[in-house]
Amino acid sequence: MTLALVLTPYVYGLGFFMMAAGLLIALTSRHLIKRLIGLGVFQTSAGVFYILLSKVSGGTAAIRLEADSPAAEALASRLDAAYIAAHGVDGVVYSNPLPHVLILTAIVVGAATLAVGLAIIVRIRETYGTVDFEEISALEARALRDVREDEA
Amino acid sequence: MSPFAGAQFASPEVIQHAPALLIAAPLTAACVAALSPSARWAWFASLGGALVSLWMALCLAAEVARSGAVSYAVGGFAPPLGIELRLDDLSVFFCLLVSVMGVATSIASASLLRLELPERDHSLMQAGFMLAFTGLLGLTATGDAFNAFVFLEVSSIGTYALVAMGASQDRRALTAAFQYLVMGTIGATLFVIGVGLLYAVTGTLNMADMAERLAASSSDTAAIAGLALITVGLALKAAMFPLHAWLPGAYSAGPTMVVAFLAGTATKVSVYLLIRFLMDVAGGLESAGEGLLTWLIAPMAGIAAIVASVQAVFQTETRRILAYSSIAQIGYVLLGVTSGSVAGLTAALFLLFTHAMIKTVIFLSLGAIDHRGSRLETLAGAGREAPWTIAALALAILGLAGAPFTAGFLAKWRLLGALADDGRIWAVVAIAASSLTALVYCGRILETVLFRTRRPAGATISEASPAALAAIWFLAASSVWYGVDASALYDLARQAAASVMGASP
Repeated sequence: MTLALVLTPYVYGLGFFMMAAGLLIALTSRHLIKRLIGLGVFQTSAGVFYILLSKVSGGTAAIRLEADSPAAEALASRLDAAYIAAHGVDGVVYSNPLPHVLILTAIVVGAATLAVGLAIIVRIRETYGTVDFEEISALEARALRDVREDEA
Repeated sequence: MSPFAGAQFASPEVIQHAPALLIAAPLTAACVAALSPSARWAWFASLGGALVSLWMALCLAAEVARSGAVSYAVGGFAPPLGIELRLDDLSVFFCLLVSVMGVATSIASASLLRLELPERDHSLMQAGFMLAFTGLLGLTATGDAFNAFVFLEVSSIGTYALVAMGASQDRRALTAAFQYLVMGTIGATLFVIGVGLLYAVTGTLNMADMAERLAASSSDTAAIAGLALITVGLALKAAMFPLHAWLPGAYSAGPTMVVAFLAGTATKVSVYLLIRFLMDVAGGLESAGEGLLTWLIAPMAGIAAIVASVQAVFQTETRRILAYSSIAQIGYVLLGVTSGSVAGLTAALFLLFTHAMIKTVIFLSLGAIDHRGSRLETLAGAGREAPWTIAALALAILGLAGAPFTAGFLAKWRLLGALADDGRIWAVVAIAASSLTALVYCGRILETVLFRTRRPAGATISEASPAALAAIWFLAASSVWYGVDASALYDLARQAAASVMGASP
C-alpha cells in the first residue's frame, strides 16, 4: 500500500514516457516496421493510462467476492471500516472495471490496425523490394524524374 | 421549419428501431458482400445496405423534426450507463450527408471498380466500403464518447485497406495508405486519451451527461487537457492544417470510388465530432471549448484556406489539385464553425454539404471516364469524348470556384456575410484571397477538359456508364438546384446550428 502510494506518480510518468517514446518512433523511424512498433507502444500507453485511472486504493480486481470469504477478509484487514463503507460494494472494495473493458476494446482495435499495417508493409516490400522509408522515397523520386525526361 | 416536418417514411415500429437499423444495415451488407460469390452480388449488397441506411436517415430526420432528439438505448441498457445512440438536428444533418454520399458512391461503384481493379477484388472492396460507411454513420449517431472512438476506428481501418487497394493502378497507394494509417492511428489514440481524461473528470462516457457535469464543474485543468487532446486527434482525422500531410497522397493514389466517398464524408464527419465536443460537450466550459476554437482552430483554418489554395495551384496531378482544394475548404468550414454565431455555423454546415456533393461529383466523374494517367494533361479535350460526364464535371468545378447560380457560390456568399457580420474581417480576407486563388486552378482544369486538344499518347477517355452517370448527375443537379433555391438544405443547416448553439431556430 505505502509502496503503491510512493510509486503512483511515477507510474503515470511511465505512461507519458511510453506515449512520447512511441510517438517519436512512429513519426521519425526510417524502418516501416519500427514505425508500427512505435505506434503499438503509443497505443499501449493509452491502455496504461486507462488502467491507472481505474485503480481504487486498496481495491481488488473486479471479480465478485463473497463478503465473508477469506480473500475478502484478508483485503478488509488492510483497510479501515469507514473507507470500506464509503467505497465498497457489499463490504468489498473493487477497482473500477469500466476502463478495463474500454481498453480491452482499444486493444482489439490496435490489433486490427497492426494487422492492416503489416499487410500493407508486405505489399510495399513486394512492390519496392525494401521497407526503408527513405529508399522508397528515393525510388519514387527517380520514377518521377524518368517520367519527366520521357516527356522532354 | 424543417423540410421533413410532417413527413413519415415508415411505420412507427420501424422508426422506433431506426437508429440501430441505420448502423446494422450496412454492417450486414458488409458481411454479405464479403461472402458473395460474384462482384454483381456484392454490388447489390452494398447498394441495399446504403439504400436502407438512407431510408432510416430520412425516417430519423422526420422523427427529429416532429419530436426533437431521438434516443435509443443499445441492448436495452438505459443511458447514461448504457450506450446511447442519440440523434438530434446536428447528427441527423450529418447522417443524411453520409447516407446520400454512400448511396451515390454505391450506385457508381460497380462500373468504377470494373475500370480499376481485377474482378476478384470487387466483393472485398464493397465489403470494405460498407464497413467504412457503417463507421461513419455510427459516428454521427452515437451519443457515447468511447463508442465514437470505436466507430472512428471501424471507418478508418476500412479506409486504410481501401486506399491501399489503389496499388494496382498506382503503387504510391501503398505508401499513402501506410502514412494514412500511422497518422490516423495517432489521431485516434490522442482522441481516446482525451476521452479518458474527460472520463476521469466527469465519471461518465455519455456525451450529454458529460456536458452537464462539465458545465457544473468549474474549469478543470484535466478537462481542458482532455479537450485539447481530442481536438488535435480529430484535427488529424479532419486533415486540418498543419496536420493534413496524409490527405493528398491518399486522395491521389486511392481507387476512385474510395476517394469519392472519402472526399464527401470522412473529413466532414471529423468536423462533426469537433463541433460536437467543443461546442456541445464543452459548451459549459467556456475557457476550454471557446479558447480552443478561437485561438487554435480559427487561425489554423485561416492559414489552411490560403496556403492550401496556393499549393493547389502548383500541383501537376489532377487529384492532388483537388486534394489541396479540399484542405482549403475544410479551412473555410472551420472558419465558419469558429465564428461563434448561429449564422456562421449555419453557413459552414451548408458549405460543408454542398462541397461534399461537388467533390464527390468531381472524383466520381474523373474515375468514370476511364482515363489512365494522373496528370492534368491526360484530361485534355475530354469534353469531346465524354460530353455528359464532363458537363457534370464542369458544373461541379464551377461550383468549386464559386460561380454564381451554383450552390458553391451561395454557400461562400453566406459564409462571407456571416463572418463580416461577426466582425471577422481577417477571415473574410482569407476566404476571399483563397477563392481568388481557386479561380486559377479551377480555370486550369476547365480549360484543359473543354478546350485543350493535345493529349499525351496512350491516354484514352470514354463516357461513363449509365449507372455512374445517374449518380453523378443526381449530385450535380442537386448542387445546381441548391444554388437556385437553397431553402430546404439551408433550413436543415440552420436547425442543426441552432440546436448546438442552444438558440431557437
